[in-house]
Amino acid sequence: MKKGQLQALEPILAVIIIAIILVIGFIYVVKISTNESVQDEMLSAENEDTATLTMLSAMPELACASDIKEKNCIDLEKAKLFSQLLKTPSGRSYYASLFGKRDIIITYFDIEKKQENTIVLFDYEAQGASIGSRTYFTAHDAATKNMHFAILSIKRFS
Amino acid sequence: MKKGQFEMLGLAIIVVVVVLGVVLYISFGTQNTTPQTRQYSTSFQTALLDTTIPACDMSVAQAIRACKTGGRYGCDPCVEVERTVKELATYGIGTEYKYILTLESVLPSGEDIVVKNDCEKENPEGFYSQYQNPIPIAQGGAVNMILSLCR
Repeated sequence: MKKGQLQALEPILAVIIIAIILVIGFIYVVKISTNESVQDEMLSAENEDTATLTMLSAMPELACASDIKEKNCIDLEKAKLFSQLLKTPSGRSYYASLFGKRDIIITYFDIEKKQENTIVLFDYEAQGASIGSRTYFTAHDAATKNMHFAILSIKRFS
Repeated sequence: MKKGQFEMLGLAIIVVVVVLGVVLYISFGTQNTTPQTRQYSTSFQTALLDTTIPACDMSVAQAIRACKTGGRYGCDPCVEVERTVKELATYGIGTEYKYILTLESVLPSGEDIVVKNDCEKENPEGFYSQYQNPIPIAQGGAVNMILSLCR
């Protein structure tokens, strides 16, 4: 290669290197901002879950008896009756503004029977895009006086 | 190519490699415990400890204390704790995460109860969340429950 050709190659090489650095920087910034927005969304959903669980467990329609000391406890018998009420048109319209555009589902695991049980507390009856999240709590079975391991699953519709 | 041009090229390559290394280090090094996994772990462990073990007619937390302190309870609390923790971890988090759940020195022999799903203690850099929950027992002691979620 001649001297002149080499000299002409120098700025091209410099441009290529700068371009590589810029591309890496751009990918990094995009990745970080995407990651942060996903994390913010997840954090907001989890905070909302905790708030919803606190609200549900404080509602007289669902709250455990006062002698139950566990925090955020939900009474399963009350939950089953309440879910029936929420299936009626009057019940739905009365509680719709409280529960919003969400499906709220309680699942609990019966250790004795090795069985999972589901109570659909509120069904928004919507199709399409939604964001799901879940949080854990204990649910009281008044019949057996056992505390069951339970999951509150919430699906949010936009 | 002249000596000076070779030096410039070498320097440029070193700069690119260093920048690439820093970017990769920051990208992969900052994914430790996130608030989400901390909250997830906390709520899971709290619910687990409050759950009743019907065979012993006591909560998991009480059964852990009974296992640690020994005594007769109409059931073997150590066996029941291990079985229950395994069942609930599989049911509760097994579908979403790989995990390792340890109850430190809980057995009368001083050994741990370890329940895990495809996650190795020997690979701590693989953990992206580790949450410790001390369960108080008699005489001011405590049993540590450690939940590690893996990549």
